[in-house]
Amino acid sequence: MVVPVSTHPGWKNLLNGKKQCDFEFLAAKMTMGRLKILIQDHPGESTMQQSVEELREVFVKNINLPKVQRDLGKIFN
Amino acid sequence: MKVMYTVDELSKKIKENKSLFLAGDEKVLSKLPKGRWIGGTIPYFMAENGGEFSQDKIYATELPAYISDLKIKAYTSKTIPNVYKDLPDNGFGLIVIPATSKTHLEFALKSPSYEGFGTSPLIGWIAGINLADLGKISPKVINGETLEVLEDGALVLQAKLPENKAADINIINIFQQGQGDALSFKEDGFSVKTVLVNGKETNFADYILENGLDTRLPLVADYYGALVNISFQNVDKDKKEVQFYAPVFKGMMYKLAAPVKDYIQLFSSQLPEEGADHITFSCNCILNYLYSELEGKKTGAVTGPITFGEIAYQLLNQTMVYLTIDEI
Repeated sequence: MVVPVSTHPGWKNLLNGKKQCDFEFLAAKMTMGRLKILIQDHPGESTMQQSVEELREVFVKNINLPKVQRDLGKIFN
Repeated sequence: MKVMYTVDELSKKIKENKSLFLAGDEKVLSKLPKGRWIGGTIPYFMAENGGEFSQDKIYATELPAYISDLKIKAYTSKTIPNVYKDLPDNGFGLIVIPATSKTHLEFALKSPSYEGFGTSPLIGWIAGINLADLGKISPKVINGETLEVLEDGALVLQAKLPENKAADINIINIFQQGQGDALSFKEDGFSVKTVLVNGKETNFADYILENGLDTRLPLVADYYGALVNISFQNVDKDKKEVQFYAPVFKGMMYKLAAPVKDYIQLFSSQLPEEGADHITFSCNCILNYLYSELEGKKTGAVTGPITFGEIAYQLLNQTMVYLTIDEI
């Protein structure tokens, strides 16, 4: 399974709250919890881009787990 | 399954070159020979027969034979930011850190922002001591390769898995956010004076005492669906300060947990469907052990050290954390 590139708008929609997902993967939940506060405290394109890269890396490195594949499907389907 | 061992029994396993993640009293851990192991001090366990206090036996997690590239890595408070990025691809790390050490505080406050957070499973615990010895001796971790004993630092067993297997971390947190006020804080920290109660600033110690909050219940934050607890250590009414066992974070919204009637019943209802045999490593919190009076009681077939803090990627409180390894 291929993880969408960081320029895919799905990442930004997730991080800015336009898209809500009910994740199974603990590391994705924890990372999202922290990044949403970071974005809230430091709004701007630079923080958003850094957050997208960070979150995407969590998915890329764990993509062999079935629950991570299901979570990815929730973001992009 | 046997999990509690004597020094002689474990010495035999060590000499057979088994890879071991150990928990026990300092007196017994210090008698073990050199080998492929790390350990932390603690005399409380969820053993085969239930909650147990022992200064004679050691809890052992034996890593499966199919792991490879096992490495023991020691970190200081300066090098701990590398802990996630050092983990192997398709592997995991087992970590132990002495309670109240500089490295414990550094990891607790800053680990969610370290490079590579969440990219590989990191699970473990905070070493402690017999509560009767608080203030007399310090928690320690021991590197089995060198037999070096650390009062500050962190030890990690790094292991790689075959391509057809993957490791995953989960938590069992029986606490839910209660219906009370929304609490937030102006700074990250293990202690606070000021809290924002529904946005209004007040002294947190005064708020707790005036409202009769039950501080055996943790504060609960919702991390995008993962409930993360912060346990109360002390409410100092003279200093008007509140201390925690894990840091609160600026900007996060917390609520006091709803009361829990029956820990074991709730815990059992959240156990993984595959059963305890499926769990490679787990640990649970000393506060759950004390407040829910778990000594002599069984939490299903789940075993593990009873700890001064649990690590599932980041530091948690009053939570059971566990690692599973599955075929993929």
